[in-house]
Amino acid sequence: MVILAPATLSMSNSNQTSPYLDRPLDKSAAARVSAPGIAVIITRESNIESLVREALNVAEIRGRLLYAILVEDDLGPLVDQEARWKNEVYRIAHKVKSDHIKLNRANLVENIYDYCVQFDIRLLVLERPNKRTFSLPWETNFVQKIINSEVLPPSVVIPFEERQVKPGQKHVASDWLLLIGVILAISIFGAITRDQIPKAFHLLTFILALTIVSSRISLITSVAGSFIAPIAFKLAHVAPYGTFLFEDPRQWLNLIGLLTVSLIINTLTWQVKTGLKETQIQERRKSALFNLTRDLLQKNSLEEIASLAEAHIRDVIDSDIALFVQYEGQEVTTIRHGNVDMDSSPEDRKARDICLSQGIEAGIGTQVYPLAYGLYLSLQSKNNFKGCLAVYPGSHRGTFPPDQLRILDTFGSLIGLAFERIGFETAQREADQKIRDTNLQNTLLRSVSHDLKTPLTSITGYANQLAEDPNLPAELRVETYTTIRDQAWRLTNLVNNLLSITKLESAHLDLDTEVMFVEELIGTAVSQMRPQLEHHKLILDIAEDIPDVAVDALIFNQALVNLIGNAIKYTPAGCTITVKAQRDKQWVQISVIDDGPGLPEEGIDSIFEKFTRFQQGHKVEGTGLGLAIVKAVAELHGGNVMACNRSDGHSGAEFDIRLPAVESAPIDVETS
Amino acid sequence: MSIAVKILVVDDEAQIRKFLKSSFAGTEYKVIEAEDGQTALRLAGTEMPDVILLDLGLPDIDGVEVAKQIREWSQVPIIVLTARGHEDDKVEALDAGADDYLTKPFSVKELMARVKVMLRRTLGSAAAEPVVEFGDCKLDLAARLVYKKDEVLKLTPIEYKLLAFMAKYADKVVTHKMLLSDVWGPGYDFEVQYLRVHMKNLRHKIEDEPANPQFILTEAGVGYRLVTKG
Repeated sequence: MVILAPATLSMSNSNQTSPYLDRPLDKSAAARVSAPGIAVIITRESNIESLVREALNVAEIRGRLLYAILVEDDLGPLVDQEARWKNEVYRIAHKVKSDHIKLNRANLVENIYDYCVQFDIRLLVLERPNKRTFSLPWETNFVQKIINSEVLPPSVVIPFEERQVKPGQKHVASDWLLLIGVILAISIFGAITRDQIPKAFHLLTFILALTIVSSRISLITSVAGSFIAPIAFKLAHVAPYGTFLFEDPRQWLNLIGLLTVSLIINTLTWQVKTGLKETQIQERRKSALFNLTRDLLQKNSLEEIASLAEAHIRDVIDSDIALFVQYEGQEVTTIRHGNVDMDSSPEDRKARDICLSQGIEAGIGTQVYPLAYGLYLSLQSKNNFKGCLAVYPGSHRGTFPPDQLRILDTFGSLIGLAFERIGFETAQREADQKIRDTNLQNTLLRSVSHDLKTPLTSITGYANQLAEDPNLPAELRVETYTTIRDQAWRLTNLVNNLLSITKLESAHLDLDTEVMFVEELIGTAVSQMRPQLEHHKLILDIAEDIPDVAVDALIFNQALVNLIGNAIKYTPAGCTITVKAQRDKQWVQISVIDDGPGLPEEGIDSIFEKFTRFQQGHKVEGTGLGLAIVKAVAELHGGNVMACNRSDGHSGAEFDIRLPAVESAPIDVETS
Repeated sequence: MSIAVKILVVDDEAQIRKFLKSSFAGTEYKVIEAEDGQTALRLAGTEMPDVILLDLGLPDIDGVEVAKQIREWSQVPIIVLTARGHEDDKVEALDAGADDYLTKPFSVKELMARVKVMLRRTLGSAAAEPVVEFGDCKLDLAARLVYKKDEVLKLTPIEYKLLAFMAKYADKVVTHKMLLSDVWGPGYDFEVQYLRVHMKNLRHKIEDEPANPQFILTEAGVGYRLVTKG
């Protein structure tokens, strides 16, 4: 192992104790350096450019010294490599002093540990081995070992995918070939035609060719081209040809002009290329953010947002996430569980709690609870809740490089905004529901006070009469009893219906849906209504191939009972009530049809509204809630209800409940 | 009947107790009252009632718990009284050992009918009747045969078991859970859908008009009831 140390970059003389080490530092060793540091670990496979730059960023952001550790491998002597590595590192991070320590690889972790203690290294920066290209197995193991080690400081692992390919390293050979080829071709062409075509044309040809070529090749190659071109021009066009001698010293001017123009073109091309690349990167990030923003806008639950955020964060950073929300005065709600159990990691719980309560970032890589496994970012929300986005750096221990931190921060803000929007929407919905409830309550109150008073008045009156007048004739007495009983039943019905409609219209009703046979549903309602059906004829007409329906049997039963009850109530004795069930495309339609007087046309539209009642000659006492209940029930089950007069030439009313058909595979049972 | 039937009425509402007591006026009944669960448990032990009418909303102990505790040592019939909209309590009480339920408000007629069904089972012929008749159907438990209009019905073993089980509790409600664990065994408590399919098939064999059942009635959200008396 070769160690370059210490690179004095940005100083922060924090005297806090090492956050990752519980044991005391070797004071004499620690005394040799002025501040805690960060070490970047470089191997033969490393992309030094991106790795060291990233490490430099991390060190600058945290105000630490940067140390470079070069790890030796078995593939040959290091001597030649070492110089290259050092040069590279120096080029990027200046003033790195070097140490050279030979290491036994079996004790690699221990050696790094000793070094970390000696120089008070608080963080390691390393690169995840590239799995897509050839990579030495020992290297993967070595990175894993460092990451998983309990004694070493936490690690920032830079994903190989994030590595920027250094311009100019790619296709170097082909760049040179193109350049030389073009210059050679022009020179030969010039040499052949120099007597026919003026020199100025040749000069322009060179400039034009270099301009075109430089846009396609790396900077170094094209700069080299700028120097080669004047030489080639001299050899091909300036007499005496094929030598470096000048007949006319003024010809120098041509050559210098060519060099200058070509260099300027190179610089400009380079700037344009860099700018373009930069723009493309910006564009990609912007579109990623735009996509997330757009997607977030379409989500309406915390859970959906959490899934979305998870997917997007995974796209950018291969990390597990957790999301926590705390509403004012309430416990912390976990919307997404991360892979870290809060109960078994007190450090994480503390980091999360402080992130929620103080709105600061905490956890790994920060100053607050850095021993936590995850990084806890506050979701910026001005609403009545606090949120926290936790990001866990994969299966390893490590922190996030700055560019990822910036993305995470932005994601955090976006998620916070989405949560805030949902908070407002929920509040709005609740307010709307409250208004509806209040309206309902007012209507109920008005109607109820009337509907309750009427039967109560007669009950009290008749009861008084019975109690006070012992000489009441027997037949009057019976009539009084009957009236009291009837009025009491009316009250009971009213109260029951009120309870039902309140329950059905409340936002918190949970349906206990099961797949039911239509025949059984009708049978249940019909047998329940049998006593009332005494004076009516009942016809049941259920299609053979009727599909099943998914309903809450108890609640749906009430709708059917109400419809049958209505038919009984609004038709004279002796009438026929038909209960019909048939399939209508994807619907199951259950109809209750009577042959009574039918519905008054002007009232059909409002028939399902609460407290609508028809008076049709004969005295009908209802609560005005029965059909409102039917409608609420049908809609709760994803269906609807319709009322009309019979269209088949007969008089009478028809009520149709439509429910979505359930296409279930029949359960296989023996039927012999 | 020479000995009066003892009925324990458990309800915290004095008005309801009074109403129930007056419903059982006459010499054949003797009504004992309890206003809470503790008293009910004590009286159930000391007075040995023949039927218990148990309200589920008690001030001290949950009615379901009372039913459960009584069931631990006594087979006395328990009819639970429930308010509308508390179906879950009802099913829980039935599964805990209660024999039937009445939803408030109920008529005296309904109450008397339910109590009579309970008494028929306990005070009447204690041994299970070998033949149960309903309408034009006859279930011969000894021969394991079911007749309709004097013709033998072809039932599957499961259908027969279901019918026999309901006949054992004739005119009383049987919950899904009771049927499932009796016919299929304890592991099948939640396969209500299977039960429904078999019940449908059984109903098609027994009933003249399955959509207008006379004998095998569905108690929505609770279970089934085999009606043997018109």
